[in-house]
Amino acid sequence: MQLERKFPAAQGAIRCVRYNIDGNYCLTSGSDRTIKLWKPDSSLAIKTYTGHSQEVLDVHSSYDNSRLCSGGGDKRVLYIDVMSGKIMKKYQAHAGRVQAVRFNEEASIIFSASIDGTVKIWDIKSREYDPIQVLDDAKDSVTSLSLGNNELLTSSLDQRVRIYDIRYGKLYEDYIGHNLTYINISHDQQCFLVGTLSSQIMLFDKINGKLLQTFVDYTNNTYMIENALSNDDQYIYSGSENGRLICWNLLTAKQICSIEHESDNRKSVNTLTHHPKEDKLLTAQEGNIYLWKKQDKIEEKEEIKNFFINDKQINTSKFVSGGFE
Amino acid sequence: MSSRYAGFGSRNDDNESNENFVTIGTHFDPAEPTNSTSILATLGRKASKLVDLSSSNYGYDGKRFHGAFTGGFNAGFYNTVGSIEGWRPSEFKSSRTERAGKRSYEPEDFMDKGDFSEHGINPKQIKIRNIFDQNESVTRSVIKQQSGTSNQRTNEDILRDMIRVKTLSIGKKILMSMGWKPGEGVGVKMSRKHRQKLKWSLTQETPKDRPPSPPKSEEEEQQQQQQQQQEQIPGVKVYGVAMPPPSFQQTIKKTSRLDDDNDDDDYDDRLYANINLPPLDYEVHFQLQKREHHGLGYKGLESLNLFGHNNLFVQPSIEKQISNVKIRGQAFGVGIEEDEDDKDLFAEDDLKQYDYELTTANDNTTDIMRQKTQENNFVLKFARYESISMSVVYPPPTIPIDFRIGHRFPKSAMPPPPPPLPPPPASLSNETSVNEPPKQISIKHDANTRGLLLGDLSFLSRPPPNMSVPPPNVSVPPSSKVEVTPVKPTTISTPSLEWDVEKERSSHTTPTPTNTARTQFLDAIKNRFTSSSDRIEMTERQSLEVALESDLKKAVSLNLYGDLTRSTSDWKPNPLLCKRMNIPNPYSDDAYNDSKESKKSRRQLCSNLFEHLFTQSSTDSLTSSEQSSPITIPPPSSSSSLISNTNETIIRSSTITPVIPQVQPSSVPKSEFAPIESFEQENQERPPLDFFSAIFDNQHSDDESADEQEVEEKKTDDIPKPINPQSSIVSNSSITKPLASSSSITYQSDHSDSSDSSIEEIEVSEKSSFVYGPAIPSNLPSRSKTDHDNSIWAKLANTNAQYEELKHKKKHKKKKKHDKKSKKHHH
Repeated sequence: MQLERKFPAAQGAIRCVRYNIDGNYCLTSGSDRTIKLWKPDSSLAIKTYTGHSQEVLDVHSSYDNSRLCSGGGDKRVLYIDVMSGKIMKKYQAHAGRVQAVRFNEEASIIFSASIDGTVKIWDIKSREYDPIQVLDDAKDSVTSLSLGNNELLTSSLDQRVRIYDIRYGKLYEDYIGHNLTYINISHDQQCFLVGTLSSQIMLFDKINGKLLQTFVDYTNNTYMIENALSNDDQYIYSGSENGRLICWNLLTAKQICSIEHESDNRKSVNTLTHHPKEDKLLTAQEGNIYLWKKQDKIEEKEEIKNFFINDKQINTSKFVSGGFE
Repeated sequence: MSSRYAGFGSRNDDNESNENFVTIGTHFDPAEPTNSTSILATLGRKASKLVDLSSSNYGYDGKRFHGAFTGGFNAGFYNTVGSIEGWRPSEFKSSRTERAGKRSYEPEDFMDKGDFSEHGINPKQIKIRNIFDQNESVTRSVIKQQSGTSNQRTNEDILRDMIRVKTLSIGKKILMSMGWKPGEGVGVKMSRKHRQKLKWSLTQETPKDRPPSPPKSEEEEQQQQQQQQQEQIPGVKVYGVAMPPPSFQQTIKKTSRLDDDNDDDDYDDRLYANINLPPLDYEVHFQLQKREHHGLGYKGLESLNLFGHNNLFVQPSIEKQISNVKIRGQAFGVGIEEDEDDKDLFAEDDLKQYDYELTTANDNTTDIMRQKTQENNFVLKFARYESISMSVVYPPPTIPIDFRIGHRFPKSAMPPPPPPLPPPPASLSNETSVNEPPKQISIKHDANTRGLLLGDLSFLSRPPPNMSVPPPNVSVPPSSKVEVTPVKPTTISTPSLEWDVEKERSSHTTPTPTNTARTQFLDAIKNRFTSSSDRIEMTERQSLEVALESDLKKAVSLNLYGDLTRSTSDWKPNPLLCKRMNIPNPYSDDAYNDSKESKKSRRQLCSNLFEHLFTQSSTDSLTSSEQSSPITIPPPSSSSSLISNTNETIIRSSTITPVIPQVQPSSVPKSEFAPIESFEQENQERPPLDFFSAIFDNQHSDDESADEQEVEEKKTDDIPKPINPQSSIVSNSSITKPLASSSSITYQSDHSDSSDSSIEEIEVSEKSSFVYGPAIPSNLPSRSKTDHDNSIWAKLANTNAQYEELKHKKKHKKKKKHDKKSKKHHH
């Protein structure tokens, strides 16, 4: 990865950074209770949204870029009009801070996960201010949620991943055995990636809950570190508590790169977001936003080649030796 | 070498020297195969081809459907409209001198060129009409030509061939193929004689009048005789037209005979006697001679339908069945004064016209069905489906030998069940009369209390039925011989969480904002905790969970993710969620039960709730008494005394609170601290035995308790109660508790309120040692007395009292044990 741009967000510590649907813009939410809209390619700050009374922990933009939803430490979920910055709806029923918010595909529903152990589902179209459904299966805080085509995935500190399959009306609970901080469903909807507090990212098969891969060699013991999948589901990116951006190859689980954000800053990189189309990555460390661009894949390819060649050599040597003896 | 030219009016094949002749038109090659249509048709097509420009350019598989009216492939002029110039609007000019003529439009005005073409809707082409034969003529001519009879076909030939008349209809063709010839009749062949007879009858007169085949000689003789007669006897008058002269008659006869071939009839008869001839070609039509003097078209009476009846003389069959009635016809009852002459007085109702079955006349399908079934001789009906499988009969379960009817509760929790079970009807009757006589209230349960005891809270939605019911604590009668412990013994054994009660109450009474907020909060958090009441279940469940968890951990440690770590359960998404997500609901819409989610609110911030709690606690003493129910405010002194004894604070708090309401007058201001009180009430939940006693109320103590109740009521009404009796109680308790034995003594002897209360306390304190779950805060009792459902709780208390009465004997036995325990506790 190559650092392309770095710019300060000037909103305190950045809690989350999110690309919009087409990757032309990004949203950041900070500890100074604001949400900012950026054009990251030119590091242009477009608008600042206020409304939360405490730090904003997550923000998501709708498919048509017309609305935002956000949740924060004030236990509220806000539904904001992008153009005017007006707060269209304000939902407050969570008993704890809201960790994650997400629109559905049509932006008619907001899912919000909170440390009160519930996921609440809000119907934007109705005038009701009560959630249409509360998913309170978690025994502990729900740390993050991810939305698939037909299902909702949540990660919880009770060490379980819950897959609410709406189409089949089933709830699958996967016991992971680690405190889970972040969940991410792959683009092909087949796998999900879970960040744990035991310094490993685990990749599971969504269908049967089997462990596919474990990604290690980074530090994540205290904070919620977000991870991301590349658009082709080939690489996995994650922040680290030692101020690095780390990339793995999904197949081989080999760490491809581990880049320090600042040589003198070892603060945790909590949040990152992958460009929906290109091989770009936005990360945030403290108050700065970093835009990364992927380098040519020469190194990795070589690595992969070497890997295969080694395999073959081993095989052939065995065979040859057998033949001669 | 002969070259033939097809030119109208020009013929130059024979004479080659006549080449000067002008040739008009194009010659066509007769050898050219013209299979499909006649030459004229080809001619027409050629012409149309020449004319129709679009046909050559636009070929959709050679088919040419076009025109605005046919909706074809191309419309208008080269797929545009009108002509090369497009639609030319017709000009309209009208001036004073030149008036515009009225123009009438024909359908053709709106048609395209294509519409007139061969496949258009209005083809303007030369075609062969139906009456002319198309194909046969051509083929015939071709055959002729090939046969070589006439090598050279002239144009006339061709034209003649074209205009061959098609005479034969298809029917005729068929008949001819069957051997019929034109001029014959159709039918069975008949003998010549018979045929002749027929013919004669038809051509001459009716067969009756004249002999079928009069011999010629006779006729002639007759005629001659007639002539002679006419001539001879002029007196004979002949009406009508005068007879023609005999010579003319002769000629007529001759001609007729010629026509009919009658002249050689005899000969033919003899010759062809055995030969059958086909029937006559013409229709047999009988003309009857008019022989009577009636008017033309007159018919006799019998066939006439005089009065509109079908038949005057035949009675309808159905009427026959009802033949008992002798008076018939509509004329019955019609008097002179009625002037309706047009009525047919003699008409009778034809009963056939009435329906005797409930069938719809128009129901053709069923009729058809019926017909069909009758025709096919099978029966249409529904037969009951008979499943082959027999119903499974299971044998009755085998009862274990040591099984006893009825459940035995653990001894500690329950006294022996009341010996006689009250008959249910009695209790029912009592239920209805609960409100009027206070006597019975003390004894009987009504539906609400029973429901409450049974855990059915549905009645809470109704308004509390009886607010006038005395508070539970007054249930101790001064004169009662039997000791009653108003405090429920169950308080300790089955405490449930505060929010349960909160929820109940909030649903029962109109909630204050603080209440709703609190309940919301409690509601939200409730399922995060488990109440200590179901502790055993809990422990079991916990142990199960622990086991499961360990299994999971083991699996995880072995990296065996998958089936071992996954658990699947049903989850019902909100139908609305499915709708919004564009996913069909896996369950029916009704299946979703959102009773869990209290629709109202939860909007309020939880922090608000806490704030409420805290602010209220600070303003505790200032709270006003809004509720009508009697409420105790523990004076600060009492609370302090309670607190002072650190060891027993918990116990006391639990013990005291139930006592307080008894002593407190209703007018006493109460604290608004419902939540804490709810703790108390929670504690009063019944043990299983109480359920029992509540359901099967014992009749024993009816009278006594009733009396008690009365007394209690009087008390509450008349005597203002000390505001802070608690201190004394507390002091009592503090004294009595260590001296368990003494309390036991007082227990029996004392009938005063204080003594009773002390007894209760002791008991409670003893039981309180069994309390599981979180310790109750010491200052709780002070706030405890906001009771919205006092009536219910009063009833509960009453029932409890009765129950206690029954129970007290057994308590004697128990006491020693309890005392020991309490001693232990204190020291």
